[in-house]
Amino acid sequence: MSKRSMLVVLLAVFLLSLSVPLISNAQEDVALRWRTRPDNQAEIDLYQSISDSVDAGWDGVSLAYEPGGTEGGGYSATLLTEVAAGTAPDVFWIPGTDIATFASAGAILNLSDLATAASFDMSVFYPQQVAQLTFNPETKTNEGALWGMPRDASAMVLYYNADLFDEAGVDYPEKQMADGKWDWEGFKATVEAISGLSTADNQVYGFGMNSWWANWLLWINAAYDSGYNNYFTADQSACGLNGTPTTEAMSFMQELYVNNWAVPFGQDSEPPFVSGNVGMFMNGRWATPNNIKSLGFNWNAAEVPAAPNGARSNWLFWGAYVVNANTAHPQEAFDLLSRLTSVEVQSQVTALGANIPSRAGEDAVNAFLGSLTDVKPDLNNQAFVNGLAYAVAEAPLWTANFGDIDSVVNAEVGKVMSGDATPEDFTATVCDAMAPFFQK
Amino acid sequence: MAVTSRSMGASQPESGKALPALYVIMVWQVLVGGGCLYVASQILQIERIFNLGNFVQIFLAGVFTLIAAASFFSAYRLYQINGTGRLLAMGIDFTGMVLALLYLGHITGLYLGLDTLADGLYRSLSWLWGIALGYMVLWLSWRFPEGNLIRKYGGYAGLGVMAACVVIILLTSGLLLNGISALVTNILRVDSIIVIVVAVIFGMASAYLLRKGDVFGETTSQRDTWQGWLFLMPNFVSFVLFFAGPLLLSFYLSFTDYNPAQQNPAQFVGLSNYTQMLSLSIGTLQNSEQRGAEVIAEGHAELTRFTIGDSTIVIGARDTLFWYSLFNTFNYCLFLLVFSIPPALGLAMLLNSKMPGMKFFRAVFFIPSIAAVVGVALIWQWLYDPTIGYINYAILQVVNFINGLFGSQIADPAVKWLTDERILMLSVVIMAAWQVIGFNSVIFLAGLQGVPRELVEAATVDGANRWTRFRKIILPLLGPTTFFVTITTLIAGLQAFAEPFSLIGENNPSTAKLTSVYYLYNLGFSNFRMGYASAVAWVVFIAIFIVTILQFRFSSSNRAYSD
Amino acid sequence: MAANAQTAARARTAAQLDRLLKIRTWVIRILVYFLLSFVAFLMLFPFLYMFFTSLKNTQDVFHAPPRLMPYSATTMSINGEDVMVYNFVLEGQEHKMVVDQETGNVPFGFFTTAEEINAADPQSTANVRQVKLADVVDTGREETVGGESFPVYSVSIDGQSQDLLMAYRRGLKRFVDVNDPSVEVFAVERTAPVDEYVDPQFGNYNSVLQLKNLDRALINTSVVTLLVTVGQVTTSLLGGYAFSRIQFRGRDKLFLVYLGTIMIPFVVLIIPLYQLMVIIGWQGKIAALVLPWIFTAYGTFLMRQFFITIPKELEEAALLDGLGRFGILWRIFVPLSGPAIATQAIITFLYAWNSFLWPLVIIGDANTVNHVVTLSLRQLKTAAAAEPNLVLTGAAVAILPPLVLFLLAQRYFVEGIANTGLK
Repeated sequence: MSKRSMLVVLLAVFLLSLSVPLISNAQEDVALRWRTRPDNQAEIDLYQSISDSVDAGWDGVSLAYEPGGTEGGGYSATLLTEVAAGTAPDVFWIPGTDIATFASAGAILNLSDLATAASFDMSVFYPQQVAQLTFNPETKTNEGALWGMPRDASAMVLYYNADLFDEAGVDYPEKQMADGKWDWEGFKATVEAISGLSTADNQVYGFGMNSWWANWLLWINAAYDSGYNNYFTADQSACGLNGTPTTEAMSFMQELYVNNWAVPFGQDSEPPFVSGNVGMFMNGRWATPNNIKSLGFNWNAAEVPAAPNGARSNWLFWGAYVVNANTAHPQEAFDLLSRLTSVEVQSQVTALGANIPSRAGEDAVNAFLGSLTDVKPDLNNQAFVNGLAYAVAEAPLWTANFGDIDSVVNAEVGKVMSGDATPEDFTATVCDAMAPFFQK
Repeated sequence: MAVTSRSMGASQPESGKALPALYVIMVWQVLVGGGCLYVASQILQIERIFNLGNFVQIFLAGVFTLIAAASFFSAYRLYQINGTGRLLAMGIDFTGMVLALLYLGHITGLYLGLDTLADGLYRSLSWLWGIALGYMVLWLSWRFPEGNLIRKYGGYAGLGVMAACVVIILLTSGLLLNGISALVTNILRVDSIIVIVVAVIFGMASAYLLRKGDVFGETTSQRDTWQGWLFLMPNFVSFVLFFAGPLLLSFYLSFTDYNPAQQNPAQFVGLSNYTQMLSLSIGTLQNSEQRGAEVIAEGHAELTRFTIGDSTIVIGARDTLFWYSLFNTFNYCLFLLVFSIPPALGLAMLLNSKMPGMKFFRAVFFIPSIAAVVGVALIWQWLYDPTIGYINYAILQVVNFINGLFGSQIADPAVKWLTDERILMLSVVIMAAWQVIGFNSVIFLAGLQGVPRELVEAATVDGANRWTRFRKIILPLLGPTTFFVTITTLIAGLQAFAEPFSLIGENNPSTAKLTSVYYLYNLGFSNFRMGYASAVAWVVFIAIFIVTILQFRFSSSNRAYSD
Repeated sequence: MAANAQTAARARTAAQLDRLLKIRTWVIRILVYFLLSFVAFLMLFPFLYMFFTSLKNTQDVFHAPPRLMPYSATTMSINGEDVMVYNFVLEGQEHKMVVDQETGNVPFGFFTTAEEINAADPQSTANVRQVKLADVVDTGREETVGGESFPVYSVSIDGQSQDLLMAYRRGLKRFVDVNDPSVEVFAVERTAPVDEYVDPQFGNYNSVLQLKNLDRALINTSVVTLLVTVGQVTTSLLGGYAFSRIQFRGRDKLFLVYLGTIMIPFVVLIIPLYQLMVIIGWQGKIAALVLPWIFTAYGTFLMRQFFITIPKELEEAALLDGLGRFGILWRIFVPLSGPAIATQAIITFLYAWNSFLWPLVIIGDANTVNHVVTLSLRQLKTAAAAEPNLVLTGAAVAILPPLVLFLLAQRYFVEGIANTGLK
C-alpha cells in the first residue's frame, strides 16, 4: 500500500474508534433526572441515598439526582429559565407558592389524567395542600387539575426560652394551655412579663416573629376563622383584609410592638433569640435541627395561643414535586412522584428533623413524632401536628404577583406596628393599595 | 478617486497572476453574498428565536441581506478595479474571518472550557502555592544588585520552581491532556472543518487584497482606513455584539410584553409599558370621610396626598412601586451628594496642608472604596444592629457622657437603623457615603494641587481672608473637578443596587428599600416581566441622561476659566 | 534714648507676636492631625470590627454590649458534663462558681417599702431586699404607689417581720464556689458574670473556605479578573492607538459614539445581555463573566487621551526607521504608557473583582460551582443563622486580595484615580 492510502486507513480507524463509545452507550433504561433544594450537606446526602434506593427498587428506570441551589438563591428562576431552554430535569421540587408561576408559564404538567388512570388517591395528603394543588385557574374550581404532589408540610410553633420563663416566674405555654389560659390575653401578659426582664444595657423581648412572607397574617386568619387565607377573598380575585377581624388582630399586634415588648417589626428575630434574649420566637419546623445544635438555654416548642373567638390559625408551608412539561417520559415521571412521596421515603426525610411528612396518615405522623427525640427527648413534636390541623396553606397566587403585593402591604403593616397608623385606617385602606395589582 | 486610479493605468495588472486571482476573489464575494442571503432566508423560516418575537428575526434577516448586498457591490467594484470596492471586500473578508474564528471557538466549546480551566486550577490548588513561592524567591533575588551570584541563581531557582509547578498543574489537572484531546476531537468534526476552511478562505482573500494595494491605487487615507479598522477590530466586534446589539434589543423589548417564562412569544404592545409605568391620576377629596381610592382613576392606587389650603389633593399611580422606587432613588442621590461631596472637599483641604504624613492619611481614606459593596454591607449590617451593633453603642456612650457632663436626661435613642421605614434609606446612604468619601477626596486633592499657588498668594497679598480666598479663587478653579466628582457620584447613586440589596435584602419586604435598579431587578429576574423591565430601564436611562445634561449646563455657566 | 526704648518695645512685641504665631501654627497643626486621625479611625473601624469578629465563636458573636476581642467562656467538667464557670466578687474576694443544677430555679422576690419604691421603673429601685418567695407570706393586699399597684408581702428580715411591697420577682439560680461549696450566691443565670478568656478562633478561616465553596469562588474570581483585565487593557491599547494616531474614515464620528456609550448605564443592558447569554448558551458559565467585558469604551477613551499627549516626533522617527504601525505601538507607545496601563489595570481589577449585579444575574445565587466571591458572600449571608461568626470571616477573606494589591500598588491607585479626575 502506498503511504497515502495507509494514512487514509489509519485516519478511518481513528475516526471509527471515536464512535465506539457512542455505540456502547445505547441504553434500555428510561433515564429520569430529578432535583430538590437541599439546605445543607446532610440533606444532599439523604436525597442522594433516597434516589439510590428508589432506583434500586425500580426496574427499567435509572435516576439521577441533582441538588439545586439554596433559598433566596434564584432556585425557581433558574428552573424557569431551564424549562424554557429545554434543559430542566424531569421532576423537580418547587415551593408551594411558585406553583402558580410555573403552571401559568406552562412549565409543569397537569397530572390529573395520569392520576385518574393510576387511581391515585390524593386524600392521603393534608387537604389544605391538595386544595392548592388541584386548583384549576381556568374554571376556578378544583376539578380537572393536578399540578404535583406535596413533599412535606411545615407548621409554625412558638419556640420558647424556658429559662426566661423561669426567670420571670411565668408558667410555660403548655401549662397555660392546659389551664385554659393560653389565649391572646394570656399571651400578652406573658410577653409583657418577660420583656419586663430588660435592664438598661440588656434588652429582653417577650416575643419575636419575622415579617417576611406575611407571618403577621397568622393572627388575622385566627380572628377570621374562615378556613382559608384571608389576605385574599376565597377565589383570590381581590383583597380580603377589609373586615372587622382585621382590626381586632392588628390592635392585638400593635400593642405588642408599640410597647416594645416584641422584637421591632421588620427586624430579624432569630439572632436575639439564639443569644437568649427573646422569650418566644415564631418559626417553622425547618429551624428545629439548628436550634438543637446552637441554642444554649432550655427551650421547647409550643402551640400558638387562641384568638378571643377561640380559634387558632397556623401557616402550612409546603412544597411539591412537579413534572417538567417538556419531559420525554410523563408516565415514569408521575410514578417517580408517587414513589418519592411514599411513607417509607417520607419517614426517612422526617428523621432528619427539618420536615413534616405531607401524608396525614397514622404511620407518617408517628414517624414524625419520633423524629429528633434521640437528641432532644422532650421535644414537643405534637405541637407541630396540632398546628397542622388548623393550618391554612400558603397559597400560590394565580391572579397577581404576591411579592409586589406583599411589599406594599408590608409597608402599611409596618406603619401600624410603629404607631403611625391606626388599625382602623389599615383595614379601610389596605385593599385600595392592593387593587391595582389585580388588574394586570 | 475611482477615476484617478483608473486613469493611472491601473487596468493593466502588474503581473500575469494577479488577474485570475482577482476573479477568484470576485467569485468568492458573490458566493459570500449568496450565503448571506441563504442565512437570511433561514432565519426567517425558524419558528421562533427564544420567544423574542418576529421582529428580531426580521431585523437579523435584514442585517444579513445588507451584508449580502455589500458583498455583491464589492464584487462589482472589484471588477472595475476600484479602491473602495477593495476596501469593502477587505472589510467583509477580514470581519468574516474574525467571526468565523470566533464561531469556531464556540462550536469547539473553547469558551465553555473556561469552566474546565477554573475547575482544573481548583483541583490543583496546592501547586498554585508553589508558583507563589517561586515568585517570592524570584522577587527576593531581584533585591540584590545586578551581576550578583545570588541574583542570578536565585532568579533561575525561582523561575524553575514556577515553571515546574505550571507544568505539574497542566498535567495533573488534566488541562493539558484532556483539554487538548477535547479540542482535537471537536475540531475533527465536519462542521468545524467547514468553518476552518471558510475562515482560511476569508483570511487568504483579505490578505491577498491587502497586498495588492498599488493595483488599486491605494491612497494614504485608504491605507489608514483599513489599518485603523484593523486595530479597532477586537474592540469594535465586542462593541457590536455585546453592547450595540443588546442596546437595540433592549429598546425593542421595551415595546413588547416579553416574558421568558411564558411559552408564547413576545407581542408588540406599543407604548403600553410606558403608560402603565408613568400613568398618574390626580383627584381632590370632597370630604374627610372619603378614601383616596374613590377620587382617583380606576386601576390606580394612592401614592401620596397633600393639603393645599382647604382641599386635600390625592395623587394615584398605576405602578406604585415604580414611583416609590423613583422617589427613594432621588432621596438616595440627594443624601449621597450631600454626605460625600462637601466633606470630601473639606478633607481634601486638610490633606492639602504641607504637613508630613498626608500620604498615609490619603491612603487610609481610600481603603473603604476598594472593598466590595457586598462585603461592606455584611459588616455594616452588624454595626447597625440595635442590640449588638457598635453604632447604637457609640451613640449611647455619647449620650451618657453628655448626661453626666450636663446633668441632662436625654434618653437613649436606640435608633432602629434597618427596620424603621423612615430612615432605612438613610442607613444605606450613610454606608455608601462612607465608602465613597475617601475616593472623592483624593480626586479633590488632585484638583486642589492643580490650583496655581501664585493666584492664592496674590489674593492673600490683596488682603483676602481665608473664606474669601476659598470662595472666589479655589472653588471656581475646582469647577471641572467638582463637576467630575458630582457626575460620577450622581450616576453611581442613580444606579444603586448592591447597597440596598445587600444591606437590607429580602428579610424586609418593605418598599422603602427599593431603588429603581432594585425594582428593575425584581421585575426582570423575580417576576420575569422583561419587556416591562426594559421600559423601566430606558426611563432610568433618560433620567440619568437629563441629569447629566443639566449638570453640564450648570457647570459650564459657572466655570470661571476654561481649560 | 526714647528711640532705643521704642525699638526695644517694638522688638519685644515682635517677639511676642512671633511666639503667638508659632503657637497658633502648632495648635492648627494639632487640630488638623486630630481631625484627620478621627476620620481615619472612622474609615478603618468597620474593617477592624470585621477582623475581630471573624475570630469569634458562635456564642460570642451576639454578645451585648458589643466588644471587639473574641472571648470564650471557661468551662469545667463536673460529673462528665461541661458547665460554665462564673466569676463572682463577694465581699471583695473573687470566687469561681458554677450553677447548682440540683436546686434548679428558685423564685425570689425583691421587696422594698412604699417610700423607696420607684413606681415607674421598679427594677431600678435602689434599696431592695432579695428574699426567697418560699420564705414570705402573701398578705393578699395590694398597695398603689405612683399609679402602679404592688402586692404586699409579710417578710421576715433578721428575725423581724415587716410588710413590704414586692417591686418585682425573678427566678434565680444557686451558684456555689468550685473550691468551697459552702459559699453560695443567688443570681440571674442569664446575666451572671461569665468567666471568660480571650480565645481567637483562627480555625474560622479554614472553615469558611470549605463552607459554600468559597475557595472555588476565589479561584473563579481570580481567573475572571485576570482575563478581563488583560483583555480590557489590550483592546483599549489597540483601540486608543487607532483613535489617536490613525486617520481612518469615520474615526471622529465613531469616537463620539464611544463617548456617548460611556454615559449609557449598565442597567439598560442587563436584560438583553442576559437573554443573549441564554441564547448562546453561556448562562451560568464563566465565559459570560469574561467575554462580554473584553471591550471598554471608558478604557479606550482613557488610552486615547493619553496617547494624544505623546509627541508626533517620536512616531515620525520610528517610521523613518521602518517600523510598521504595530511596531510603533508595541515599541514606543506601550513602554511610555506604563502609568496609564497600570491605572487602567487597577480600575479594571477592582471593577471585575467587586462586580455583583452581573454575576448575580447570569450565574445566580444558587450556583456554587461557577460562582464568584461576591455571590459567595451573599450565600454566606443566607446561611448566617447557622454559622453567624463565619459571615464576617468570609467578608475578610473576600476583602483581602484587593487590600493586598492596594498596599503594594498604592501609588498607582491613588495617583491614577486622581489623574482620571483631572481629564
